[in-house]
Amino acid sequence: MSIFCTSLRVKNIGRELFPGPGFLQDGDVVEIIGEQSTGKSTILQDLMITCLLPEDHDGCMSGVIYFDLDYHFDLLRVVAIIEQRTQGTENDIQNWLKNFHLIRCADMEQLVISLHAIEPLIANSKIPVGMIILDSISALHWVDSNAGNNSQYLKEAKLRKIVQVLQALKERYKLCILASTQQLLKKDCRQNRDDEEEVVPYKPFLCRQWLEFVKHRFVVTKDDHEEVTTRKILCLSSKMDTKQFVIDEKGFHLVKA
Amino acid sequence: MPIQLLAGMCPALTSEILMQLTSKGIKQVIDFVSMDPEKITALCGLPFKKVLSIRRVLLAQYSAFPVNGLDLYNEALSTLAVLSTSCSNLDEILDCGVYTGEVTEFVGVSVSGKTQLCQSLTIQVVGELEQNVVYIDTTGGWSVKRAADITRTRFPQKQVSSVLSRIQLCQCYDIKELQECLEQLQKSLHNQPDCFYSSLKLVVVDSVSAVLGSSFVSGTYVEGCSLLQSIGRRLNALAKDFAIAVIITNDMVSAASTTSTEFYSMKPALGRCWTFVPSVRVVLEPDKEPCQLWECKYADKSCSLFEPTIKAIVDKSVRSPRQSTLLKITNAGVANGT
Repeated sequence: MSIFCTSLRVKNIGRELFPGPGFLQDGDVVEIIGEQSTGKSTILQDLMITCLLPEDHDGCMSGVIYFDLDYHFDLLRVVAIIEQRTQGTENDIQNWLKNFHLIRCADMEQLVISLHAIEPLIANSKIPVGMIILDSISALHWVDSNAGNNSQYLKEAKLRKIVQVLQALKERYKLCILASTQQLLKKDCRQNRDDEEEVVPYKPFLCRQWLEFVKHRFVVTKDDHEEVTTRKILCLSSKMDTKQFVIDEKGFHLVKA
Repeated sequence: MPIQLLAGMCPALTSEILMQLTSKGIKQVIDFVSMDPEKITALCGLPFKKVLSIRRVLLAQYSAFPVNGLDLYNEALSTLAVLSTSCSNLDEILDCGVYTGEVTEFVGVSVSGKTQLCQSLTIQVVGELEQNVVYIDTTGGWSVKRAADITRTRFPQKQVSSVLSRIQLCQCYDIKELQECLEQLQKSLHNQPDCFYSSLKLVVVDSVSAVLGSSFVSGTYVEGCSLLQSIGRRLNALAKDFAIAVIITNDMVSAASTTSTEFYSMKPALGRCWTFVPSVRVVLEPDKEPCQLWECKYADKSCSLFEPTIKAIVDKSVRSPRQSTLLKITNAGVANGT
């Protein structure tokens, strides 16, 4: 078992969120779904930081390629969280950042082309790349839907191509793929309370290929009461309970019950 | 628009090869790069070396360039500016002010002081920081008289005309005009033909709902959402690519009640897909109902001294938790309320 584990680049991270053994590891595909300001990006960035940090800070010392599709990524905040977490020197942090790459794409078409183009970057990097992050994959959902006119096939054509290339990269380089999805459709309100079956807390709208591609799926929710915000995360792929978490200057952490 | 394969896009892509590709249904750049080079070779009977060379050129030409984290960090450090709002209460809940590289939304009902806040911030940036501002007015709410008054009260030693000359006003009254205006702005920033754009630090859109609200009137729901997503993206791209602070204002609409104590609640206009656009959202609530405001103003003879109070609540921000503060509108713009 130990030999098997050491051969993995990304391993045992996100212990609080992912079901064991192994937790989040190479080749996993994770989707985080939520409404605005529920903490999707912060959770992704928290996992990303763990991936970037060296072993003595409980990290994996692996590279990360981050696709900022929302144009919301703020590196200075990420650096602030790293500082809080490691008390590392400026020099250390700058060194760790060298394994991080950010890509901003104009549209989904450019995303498809860029995903094909990063292969040499993954294959040739000195520090192996452990994660690809897409934040968020639904950023242009409506634009693509509109461009496809009435054809469901054309509407989903780009996302299908994205899944196809991600699948290939994942198999070839054993990467983790993490994505956030904005909850663009209101979940079904017609809850049948008598029904024994649990109501799915989100409404899937992305293409079937993507839904099947994801291994771990989380739904994050937020509840504002006056000036107190309660945030919760629910893992759909395992029988875990809903967990409560907070977001502050140290980033994301769970509330210990 | 999807990028079609064209003869001459790269030296190896001749019109004969293009014909062979299109006859097999490979018409767009993404079709070509998404298919295995081996498969294209087999399907179209092309030399493998040529296919690889075309692929390499297309990937280099049309992909987005990965930026290294260290370079990005150094760039972020040198371009980040936090624009103080001149109102310490508001600065405190926003964690020092309005950040460049982000879209900040002020949302509130009518008479909640959205336009006053925009004008006050604009004068602060041009007067105190001596940076330039593009003010996109979609409601006709911009008042040069008010701007001049704020400038006179706040910067008595400065010449009003020189301060106001740092503001460029664009009036857009429909979606198309707004799109063209933003496109033009992006182009100008890219070329930087004069120094106005090199020291542009703030773009204000007051208000987005006035023009974008009509996107759902004509056409389908999907068309409306598509328009909103693409304009939202453009605003975010403007903020990130050129390190500019973008401020937008939005209206409130009524929504189904979430609690049992009230009949209805309020939510920002433009629906679910717009909620993902701003990085920071501040909700403004007037202390008094509009009709009461009217009474106060006219019942009291000293009407010029009447200063409406507004409650500001941070609804979305990665930097600060949900908190609120009081503001008031004075002769000198927005100030701390009590």
